[in-house]
Amino acid sequence: MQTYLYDRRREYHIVILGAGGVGKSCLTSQFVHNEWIEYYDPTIEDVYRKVIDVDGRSCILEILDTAGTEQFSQEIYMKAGQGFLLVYSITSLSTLTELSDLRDQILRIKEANSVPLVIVGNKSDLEEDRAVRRDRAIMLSQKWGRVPFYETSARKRQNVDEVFLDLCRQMMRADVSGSGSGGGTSGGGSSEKVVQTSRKKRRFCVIL
Amino acid sequence: MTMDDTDFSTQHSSIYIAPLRIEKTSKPKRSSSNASRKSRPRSQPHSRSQSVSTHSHTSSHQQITPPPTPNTSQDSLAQSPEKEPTSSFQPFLRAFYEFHPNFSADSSTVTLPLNLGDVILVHSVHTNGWADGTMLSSGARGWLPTNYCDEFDPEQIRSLLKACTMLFDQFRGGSAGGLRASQVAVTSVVAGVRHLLETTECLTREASNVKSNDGIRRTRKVLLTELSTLVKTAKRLPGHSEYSSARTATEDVTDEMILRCFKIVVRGVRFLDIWNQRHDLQNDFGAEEAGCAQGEDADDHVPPTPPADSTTHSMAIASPVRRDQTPEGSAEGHGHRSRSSSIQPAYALARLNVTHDVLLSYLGSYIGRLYHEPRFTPQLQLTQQESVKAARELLAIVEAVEARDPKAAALVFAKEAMYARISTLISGAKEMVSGCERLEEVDEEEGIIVPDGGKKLVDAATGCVRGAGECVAKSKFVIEKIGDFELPLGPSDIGLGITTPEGKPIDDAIGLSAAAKAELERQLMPPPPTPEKIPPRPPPKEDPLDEKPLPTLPVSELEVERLTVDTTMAGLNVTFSTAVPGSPSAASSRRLSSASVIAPLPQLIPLSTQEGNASETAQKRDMDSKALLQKSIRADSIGAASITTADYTISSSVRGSELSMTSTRATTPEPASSTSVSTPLLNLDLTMMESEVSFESGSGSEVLVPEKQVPEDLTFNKDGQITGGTLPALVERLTVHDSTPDAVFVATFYLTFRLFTTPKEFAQSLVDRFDSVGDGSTGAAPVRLRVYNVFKGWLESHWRKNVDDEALETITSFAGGKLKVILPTAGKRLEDLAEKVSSTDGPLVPRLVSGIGKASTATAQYTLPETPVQTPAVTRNQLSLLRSALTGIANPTVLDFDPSELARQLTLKESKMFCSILPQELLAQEWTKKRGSLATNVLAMSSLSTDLANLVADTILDAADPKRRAVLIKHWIKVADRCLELNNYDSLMAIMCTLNTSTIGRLKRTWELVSYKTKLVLDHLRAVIDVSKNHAVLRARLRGHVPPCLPFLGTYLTDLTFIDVGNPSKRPVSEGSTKQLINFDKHVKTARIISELQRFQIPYRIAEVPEMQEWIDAQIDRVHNSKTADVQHLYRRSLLLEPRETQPRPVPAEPSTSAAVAPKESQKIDLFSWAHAFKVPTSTT
Repeated sequence: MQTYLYDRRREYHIVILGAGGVGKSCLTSQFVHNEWIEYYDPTIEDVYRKVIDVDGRSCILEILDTAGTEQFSQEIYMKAGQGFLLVYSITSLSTLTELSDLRDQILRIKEANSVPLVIVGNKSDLEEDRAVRRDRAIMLSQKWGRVPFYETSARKRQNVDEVFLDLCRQMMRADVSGSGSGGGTSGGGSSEKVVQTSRKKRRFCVIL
Repeated sequence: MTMDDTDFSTQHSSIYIAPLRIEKTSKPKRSSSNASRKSRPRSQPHSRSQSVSTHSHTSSHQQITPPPTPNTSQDSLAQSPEKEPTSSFQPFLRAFYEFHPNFSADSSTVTLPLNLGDVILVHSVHTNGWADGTMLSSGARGWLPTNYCDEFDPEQIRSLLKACTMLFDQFRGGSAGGLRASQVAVTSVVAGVRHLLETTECLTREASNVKSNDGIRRTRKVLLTELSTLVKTAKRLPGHSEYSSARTATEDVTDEMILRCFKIVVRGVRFLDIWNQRHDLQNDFGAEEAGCAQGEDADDHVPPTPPADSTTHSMAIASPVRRDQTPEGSAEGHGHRSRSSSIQPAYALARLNVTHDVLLSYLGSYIGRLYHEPRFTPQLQLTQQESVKAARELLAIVEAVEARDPKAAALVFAKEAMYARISTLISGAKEMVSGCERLEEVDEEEGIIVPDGGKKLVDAATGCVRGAGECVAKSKFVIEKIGDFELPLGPSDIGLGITTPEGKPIDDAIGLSAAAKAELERQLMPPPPTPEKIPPRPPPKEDPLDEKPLPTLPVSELEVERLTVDTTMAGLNVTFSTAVPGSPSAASSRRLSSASVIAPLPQLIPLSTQEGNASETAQKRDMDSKALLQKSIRADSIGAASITTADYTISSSVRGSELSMTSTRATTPEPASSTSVSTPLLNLDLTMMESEVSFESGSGSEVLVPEKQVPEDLTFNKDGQITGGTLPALVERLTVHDSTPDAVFVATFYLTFRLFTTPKEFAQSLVDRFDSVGDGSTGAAPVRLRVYNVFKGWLESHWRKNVDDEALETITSFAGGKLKVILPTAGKRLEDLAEKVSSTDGPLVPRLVSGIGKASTATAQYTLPETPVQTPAVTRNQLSLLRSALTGIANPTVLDFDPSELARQLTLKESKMFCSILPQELLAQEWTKKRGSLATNVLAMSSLSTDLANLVADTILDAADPKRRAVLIKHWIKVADRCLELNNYDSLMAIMCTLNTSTIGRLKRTWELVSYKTKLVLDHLRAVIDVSKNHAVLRARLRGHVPPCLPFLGTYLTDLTFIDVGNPSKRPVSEGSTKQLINFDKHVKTARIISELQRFQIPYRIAEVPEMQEWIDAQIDRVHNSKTADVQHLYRRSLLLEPRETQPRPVPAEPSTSAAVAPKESQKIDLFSWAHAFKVPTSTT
């Protein structure tokens, strides 16, 4: 990674959106910090920045998370972002349905038909409280043009990195295909990717 | 005269004209030249009537008649009624006019000729304006006209001057303290020179200042040469080997030393002049202007009376570091005078700064020495003695400040903590020395090897630095509030040439206990002037930028590390605990200083006596506290937070610790502001410590691990701050027997304990702790008392009804049982409290949202209560419009009102909510709870901002005409801009967010009508709220702000959320260990964020326009309840107003590429460029 010059690194802003209590901030903090680190201090400038390696290319991600704040500031975050994680909780159906409005808002503000985006069903560790069947989310994903969909457990750190990697690939592709404008098919493209299932982790990739 | 006169005259070229100007206007032109400011003559002499004006002088000076030589001899002078308060003048003067008496005075009077730039040490000043002084350059003593001089006390050289006075007094003032005292004097001269070089950034030869300027280099060298001569001379002192006391031969050496010392000062002044010259060239304009403004202010008050009367003075000669100018300078500017006999009274603030500087310089060299060589040498002892002396002086000032504002409980805390810290230092040293008692043959010069590498002492000294910093911050805050006042030098100060009966340093009263000494100091303290005499508040500075606190100092990890605690010290402390720490603190300091290294055995105070005292004092103090409390309730928030149990003590030795532990501060000091009030950077060590203090205020310096504790039960981070522990271990920390529990720790504990334990469990742990110390064990009494205090603090100011009630039973039975048996008064008191708490709602002592951060914002900018509130910009028409709106007759829009006034009223409204946010609302994401959230104020504020955001959109979308919409946009941008001016980031954010939504942003036709100028403003505002890098811009701005300020609440909420989510509640003892501790670090972090928020919980001084408030409320309500004002509806309204153009846009289903939009945009220049202004740093390609 060090061999890359700084300016050659791509820098992307990822915005995490979703209803309250779906575990957005947990997802973020899990991603930016590999472990529960005692020095985790959210006030420092770089805390939400992370360098990741995607298919041999290094890029910088900055996670914009509106956790805890008022809704009204959401749009300025959206405006600043290139990739979006739309998070719901598998224990609450309403959190899934709320995602549609958020997506509309994103598309409006980005003035695009499609943006790099991933649907994330969090809290997969709470299987016993499940209220959203997987196919509900898959339906939504298809409706939106085969947007990738994952179920994650931020608490157990399952599928967390995968979500960000997927999004990062989408953003890179959008970048290549012309300043983010032609991202129309990005979702479809990524959906063809086959995610290996390993150990106990549940990974869901929307097939078709 | 060693000074290069020609140089001087060029520098002060305007001097020759100045007096003439003064004659006419008494207000010299405030040219930008430094010299003219400096040369501002005091006034004309008043003594024309006296016939003796026979002095001739250079013709250009004719207008100023120098005062005649007093006919009185020194004897009669001594009887002069005004003589007594000699104490309060500045001992150094500098000649700004030449004075060459051409007559030879009669034998009884010697007149000193003055040359430009001469520095004079003043011994006394006669009412007629003549001063008895010694010319430093020649050592000649005689009378000189003070109106030819100006007070000389630039910040950089202040400690050198002070050291010089000290040395002089040492040998001339009769307070012969033997070898040690003279060594101290020499040491302080060295420290003074060091300070001078440090503040001028010329400490090393390699410094750029030195390298780049030949003059500086040369004068610096001369100065250092002179210094080494002094040191050499000092070595010749006959008493140099402790046991010989041949006083006779001493005279010669001391004479020489005095002269050498004077030379050093002269060289130092010369050096400073050169430095100033150079510095002035490149110096920033800001300081200059500020200085002028200040001077101007002062001039208005120059009394037309002779020099002796002038209370105004220019602060410092071209002091380039004008760190403290505002409070000090402007207060003085008001020229409030009370004593006509002194040259000028010392102001509390000025003295505070000076004393603080001195203290820090001693402590710095103390720590430096220890660090360098962990031996307890006589020199070290001297430094310690000096530190203690300076600390006492500081405390005397603090007490004087306190006397004026008894409500300043935070100050009381800080003061008491300081007492305790000094005691810790003394007792630490004492114990160490006594530990080596048997080694009687210890080589005097070699000293005793400090057992633990000096850590303990370093820690204690660090604690003192911290304590002093807090004291000063608190005092400054109080001074800010009550106004600066004259504070004649107390008797404990180093006296000047003529010693008054009281002038004898208290230190000589051997064997006084600390309490007695403090008492004495209190008594000797001049009574505070009557309230009317308190000078008017200085007006607030116009330009906030001028007053920006200094930037936060970076902490070097290395430094912090070495100043912090090693937990392995535990073992050592057991030995120390035989002595009740610091019990007869002052006495021990006495011993330490006067006796040799072989100190007496530590004194064991019978515990029973102490307890007896305790209950006595307790009663008395309780009464005081009640009175205090009542007052505090009325008092507005400032500083009152920590009032609670401030006044329960056992004896002065444990006092500090008791006090600080009961602090109710929720939090840690806020970094930026504490640093900003910090004194100049004395030396590396100190600055580091200071910044450490401001950052963490960790428990570092005071870690004395109680003997009982199992080491694995607590974990610390590298700063010595507790990061984890079991409940019993944490409770033990709360009640350590031999040191002050760290205030931050205590405050954090109170604030957050419900997150990791239950109230009942906590109460039980405290009781267990109480039981765990047996009667026989050392430190049982302090521990028990602290247990009581923790209970008391909890009940009084941290009690949360309903939540905590479950613990009541435990507390009551403890209070009535075990506690009562051992500490009857305490038991009774606790019972009462428990009863009260169950019968009242809310805390007994209102916990005012105030943090230490708040107190340390005393940096000049706090809007003072006395300042007149700006008149609201509301016309009569607007008012009547508002009134009729309320009755439903009229329907005004935002356009009907002035943007500034709208911004002010919005700010006022939000600020009220913000200020009422309680710390517990911010814990454990309370505000996100969907039902039954206790975070009412947080939610109210969130809701208000959201509604405001929607109101902005609603008003804009209400206008059917694009032109009108453009006007509305412009209007809101103005409002937002005014909000920024008011530091109201919350409203700014709300408005800006709306203007950046797609709903508003898409209104192309409207934006076309918005002027370029307005868009520029918008871009500027947008940069402020930029979200990237974790709101880096916003955070940076907030760091620099002093209240009033209304930060964007959202960032705090996000931070708190992430601290809560990102940190586990348990942590292993060590990596891989299975034993889990409470992750206290998480709570410390939470408390820190809360304290940052609290720092800004200071109300704005804005006049309310009730009508407008009501109208805004109505608008907010309307939007809040409107069905058409949520995001989706607003967007639809936007679509209706300006339907999608040809190629229908966004809605997902419809295909349209942004590529198609792009050319359009580029055609319409600037129209949408702003919309992408959140430049995402995507490095394309």
